[in-house]
Amino acid sequence: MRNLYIIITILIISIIGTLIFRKKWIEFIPIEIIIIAIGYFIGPGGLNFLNKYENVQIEPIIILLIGATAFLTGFKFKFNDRRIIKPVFKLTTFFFLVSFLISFLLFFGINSFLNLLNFRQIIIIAVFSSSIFPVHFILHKKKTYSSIINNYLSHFSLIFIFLILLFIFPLLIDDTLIFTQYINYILFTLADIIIFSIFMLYFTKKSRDNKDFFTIFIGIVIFNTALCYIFNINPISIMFFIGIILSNTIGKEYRKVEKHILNIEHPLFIGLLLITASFLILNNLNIYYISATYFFIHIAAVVIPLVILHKKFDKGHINSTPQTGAIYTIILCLMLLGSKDINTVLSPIIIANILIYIIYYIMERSKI
Amino acid sequence: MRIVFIAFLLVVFYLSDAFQWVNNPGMQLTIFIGFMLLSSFTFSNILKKTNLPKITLYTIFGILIGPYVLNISPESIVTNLRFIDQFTLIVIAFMAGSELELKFIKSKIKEIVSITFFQIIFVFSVIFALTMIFNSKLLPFISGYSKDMIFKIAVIMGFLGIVKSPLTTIAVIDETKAKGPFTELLLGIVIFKDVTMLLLFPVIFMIIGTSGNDSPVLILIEIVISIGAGVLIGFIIKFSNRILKDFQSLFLFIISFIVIELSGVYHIDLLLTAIVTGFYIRNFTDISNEFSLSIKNLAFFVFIIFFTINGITLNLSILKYCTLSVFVILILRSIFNQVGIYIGVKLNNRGELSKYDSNLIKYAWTAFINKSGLSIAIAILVEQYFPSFGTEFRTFIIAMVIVTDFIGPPLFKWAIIKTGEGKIES
Repeated sequence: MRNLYIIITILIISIIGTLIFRKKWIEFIPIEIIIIAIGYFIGPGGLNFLNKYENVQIEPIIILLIGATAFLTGFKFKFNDRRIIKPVFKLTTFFFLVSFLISFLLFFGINSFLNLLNFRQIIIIAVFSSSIFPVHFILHKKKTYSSIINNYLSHFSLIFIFLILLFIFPLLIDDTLIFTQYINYILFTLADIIIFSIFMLYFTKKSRDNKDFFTIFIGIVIFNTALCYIFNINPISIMFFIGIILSNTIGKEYRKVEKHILNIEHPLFIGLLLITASFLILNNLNIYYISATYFFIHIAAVVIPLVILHKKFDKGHINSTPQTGAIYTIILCLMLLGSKDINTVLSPIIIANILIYIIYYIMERSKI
Repeated sequence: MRIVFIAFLLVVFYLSDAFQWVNNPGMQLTIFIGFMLLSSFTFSNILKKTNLPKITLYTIFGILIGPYVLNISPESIVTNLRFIDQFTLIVIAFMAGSELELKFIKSKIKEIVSITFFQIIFVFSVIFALTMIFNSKLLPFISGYSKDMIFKIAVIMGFLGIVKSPLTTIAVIDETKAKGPFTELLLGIVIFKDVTMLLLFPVIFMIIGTSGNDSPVLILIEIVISIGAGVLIGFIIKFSNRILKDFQSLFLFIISFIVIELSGVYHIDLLLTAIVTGFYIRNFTDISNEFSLSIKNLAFFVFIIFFTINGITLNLSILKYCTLSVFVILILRSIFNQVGIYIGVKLNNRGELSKYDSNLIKYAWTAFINKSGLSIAIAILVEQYFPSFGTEFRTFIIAMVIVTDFIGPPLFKWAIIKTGEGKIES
């Protein structure tokens, strides 16, 4: 029954967290930070109450959280206005490439003095650092399109991240991979996306009520995410793209499905934060060095392209918020692989993000 | 498309299992839950036109993937999922309690009580006597047990013979959109009988000494505490409803877990507590509709997993030498249920029988065939209390449930159509 205690604890915290989140009962500190603190406290670093390696029955919950949040992130990306896709895509490409280049060069340069990371870790940390979503891009002169552009820009930024992860994932988990094996992984990934998108679309259209929908949704998310882990292919990118395909092909059923899904978004996000935090490693001094480096490089990687864009669109205004939900999905997905090498760079990213989030939160509150 | 989907799932799951790509027990459990949810649910949708209840179809799918047919369900994983048993028990009791409407029972109390009383007396006596006389010939797995133990088994068998689940009755009424005095009375009897049995079973289990407390005072105290706990939980659900509206199903899952834990620590009776909670919410609160919906949502998922696992764990080899016993008990049960109805109706009508009364005598027996729901909940308890023969006993009861699930709903549906109170779904 111990496993059940843990599942019940996760559920209780998720429900209470969601209620606080919705009612804004606690104003002085962001709820995300509280959940992360609780997650760390009940994880192996604290009370060791929530330990994935000792409790088999937690695995389905973790898999559900990873798969469902990746799917939800993709599902929100609906092309309503196809006219602005091209310019926003160009803008995001520019944004992402500049950010990635800055991050990579800075990490590479600093690491040559500190010698904390290997090349693979630098690539991962640079990819995370260049993921600046959601990016609020508000053009004063085109107010009609501002929210749409803002929405598209943040989602294109996500597409870049998930696309890159899709291609580098096999290399992250197996560095001895030969070319033909790599091609097989990619083909297998594409086949998975196509097959499960078709099934998901068919069954979503056939569902008569929310019970039918959730049975298929939870079933496909759990089955496919676990399948990806078994065959070493990237579950989050796959679930993300299945979400995008479904939202753009489902037609008039979109609103109905969106309504079902929105109800579970907050509990899923809180559960995700809780479990991700339980994986945090804080007992190594190097983590704090990497974290501080990440903090400054990430800010530079966000600010520099923003300044360039600001100068280009001198009548416009560009804003940026911290990395949120999707980043934790990616972190948890990579953490579950259990590679010490990868985990070394994930904890610093979470710590730096907490810091950025607190600064952002204070700045936002001071505006009010 | 659905057939293609099931074939795809079977192939992928078989490959991942057969080639032992899954060497992580957590991931193996995860993929199995996903596989079960998708394939069992799709299988039940494919065979929807057979008019069989979904729970029967889940069980059949479990048998198909179980050790006797395809043998693709890992034993260790199935063991890991057995915790679902107790949740199912509570969910069934919550549902049964929430179906009991005091107002309706009051209006038909005379007929309901008389028919229920005679059915209980006749069916119990016949099955109890049958088990005592033929014991191991009827139930081969009890061969070699002492007279005292056979007496206990006969008592349980007698009471299990009476039990009839309202779930399938309600499902058929819902499907045929049946409305009228015949349907209402039968539903009333079925629910009243279910609740009577739910109240009687804890007493029976305590009397036959399964909990180790034979003192009547202690039994009484446990019943009072269980009723009190049921009301208290109902009270908590009522007051949490406003805040937890979107998470009511999740909250009920948590509450179920707490009840299971409390029952272990404080000897609270699970069934009685949950039935009182359901009854309290139905009759003394204004959230009965929300509660009913939430518990049905929860039951939907719990039933898929529970009944599929039930099918997987079904010991089909026992069925080889139990089939005759299953049919003998079911036929006798149907005959004496009908005798109970006949006497009950005759006692309430001294003169000439109306069309409604003749319908009761002709067709009412069809409503008492099904055994799913509470029977399974009791079989789970028997398995826990009597580990020496519990698994075989549970298999025997599930065999009865499967047979009645095949025969009961189509017959009851036929009866409703015959009385003119329902119609066939177009």
